[in-house]
Amino acid sequence: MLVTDYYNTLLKSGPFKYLDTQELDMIKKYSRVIQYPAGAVMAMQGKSSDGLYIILYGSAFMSAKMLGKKVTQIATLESGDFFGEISLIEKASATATVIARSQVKCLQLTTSYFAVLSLFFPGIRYKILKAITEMIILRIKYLHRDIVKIVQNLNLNTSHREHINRETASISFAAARIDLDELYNRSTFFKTFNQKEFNEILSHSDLIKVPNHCNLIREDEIKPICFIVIRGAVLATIHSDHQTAKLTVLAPINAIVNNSLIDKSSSVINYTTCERAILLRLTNEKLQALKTNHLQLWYKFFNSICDSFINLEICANRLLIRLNSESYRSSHHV
Amino acid sequence: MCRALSYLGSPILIEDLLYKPDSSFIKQSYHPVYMPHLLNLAGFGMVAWDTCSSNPKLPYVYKTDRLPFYDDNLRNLTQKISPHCLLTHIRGVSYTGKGLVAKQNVHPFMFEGSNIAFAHNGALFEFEKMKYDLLEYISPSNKKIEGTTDSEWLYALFLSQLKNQNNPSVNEVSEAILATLKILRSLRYKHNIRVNSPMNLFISNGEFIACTRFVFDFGWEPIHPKPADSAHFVYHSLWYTYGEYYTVENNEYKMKQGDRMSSIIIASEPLTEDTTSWIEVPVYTLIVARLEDGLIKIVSQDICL
Repeated sequence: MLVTDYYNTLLKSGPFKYLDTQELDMIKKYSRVIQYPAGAVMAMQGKSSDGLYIILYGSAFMSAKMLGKKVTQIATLESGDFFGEISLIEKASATATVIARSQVKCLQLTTSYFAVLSLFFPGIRYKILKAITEMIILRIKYLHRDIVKIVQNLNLNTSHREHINRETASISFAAARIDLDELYNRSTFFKTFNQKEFNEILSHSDLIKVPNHCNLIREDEIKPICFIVIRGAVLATIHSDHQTAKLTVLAPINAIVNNSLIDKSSSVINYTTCERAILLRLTNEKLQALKTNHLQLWYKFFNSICDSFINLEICANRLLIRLNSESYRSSHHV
Repeated sequence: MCRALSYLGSPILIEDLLYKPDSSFIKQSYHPVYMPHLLNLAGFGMVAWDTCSSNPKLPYVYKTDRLPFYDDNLRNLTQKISPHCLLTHIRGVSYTGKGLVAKQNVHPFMFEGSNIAFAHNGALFEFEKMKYDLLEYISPSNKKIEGTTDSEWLYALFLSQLKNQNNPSVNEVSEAILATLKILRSLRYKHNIRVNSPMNLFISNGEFIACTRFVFDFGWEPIHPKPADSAHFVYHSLWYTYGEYYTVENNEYKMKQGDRMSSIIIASEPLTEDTTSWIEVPVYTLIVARLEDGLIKIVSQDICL
């Protein structure tokens, strides 16, 4: 394969679209090229999958067995297409089966080499994650569209409350009876940062106390913002007219991020507290300050942002399957 | 902390659920995947309805406070019985010595004269404070509590909310579950109990299975004093898979996907490492499955506080 073809193929490929030539050289150094004969299984749904695969040459069939359906062909992958981007980040099992349609040449960036790359070149990791997160958000939007279509045709028992935007109140950690050492040491979320970084995150956020049924991010809201759930729980929903479908419930310690932070478009998800809650709030100004003044920390923090969207996509997929399998009724008040 | 499993659909050898899959139900007693901190060693129980048995409305019942993975009798029974409906539970209690390990405390509960079985995965924080206030809501015919668990009290409370205990409709069961939650919530407010308390319920009478994934005061751990074990404050999951029948395919157990969706498993966690054919149910959900003309019908409902 010609060198220029190699770079062009990788640049065309979603995960690497923000990398420059030097950075692509680094990718080449940390990855390997694998050849598959026609008919070979490149990934098996439900089995462990090691990292990201970019197709350099040839084509492959992607299919998946969905709950409630038989095996469904999802796509035919050609040069520049990829799979395994979630496995790259999260050591997750393959969500689809990929079988070589013809002889295939692939670039594989394994999870362990990606971790090594990230250690020495966190900027490259950030650019790849940013590209992947954008793709995930786009997929969430497609799922949102499909979910809304189904929800609109359902006669849901929508006795949901009117969500009133109430004023949130700032509160100190002492008043909230939150032990900072315990918060840092007991949560896997914060343990990915060192103590100094943890303190820096706290200094870029304010702790707020929020009542039940308080809207945090409305669908169609464009203002970038991030919340971290410290106590209580937050409901993520999709709305259509006056019908609501529940995506997931976010408990401590999870990040909630408006997708406008990534793609500058309005939120597709609605977030409302479903218990009284205590949250860390990072406004857009604070997030930009973190990015400008603490770039290495921002790269790390972005991992959590990416994770939150991966989780949302999984929940959106599940909701779509559930809406096709179940008779779904929305809120019933207890 | 417990694990529970319910099944409804084509008759299935119990062994295919309890022992054979790579993350089988019995294996979850010592190696649960979605349950850190605690093993489930405080007893095993199962209730199984088999239309081919004598008096098919009356289920097989097996309960023991022994460790199920050493129980030869249990293994033998599971190799022989093929029910169309099953509810099983393995009990997990903290290692503090406060949770009494006894047969009376093994789920599923089923009072004499009732054909409704009930299991609970979770715990009501500071239950002792509010326990006797429940008596007001429990009818005399259901005051049959023998053990020391909060779960058995919940069962008595739930039965007392049913208008028709002998043959309740699915709607009546759903209403009774919601009424139960409402009573518990009001009593928790009365006693100022505002700590995370999971309420994953599994209920069946051989004709339906009803399950909740619910938590009171979700996300609020106790502050002072911190309890010795935090097992009740981790998330309690609920998953399901459904299809034609549960079987081995390419050396792995999974629900065969076909034209007739006639079997469902609803459980605390999947029975296999491969979870791609399982769906996790979000918190605040009530899910009910029943057989209608040989097909599984699933109704799910959000529960909103």
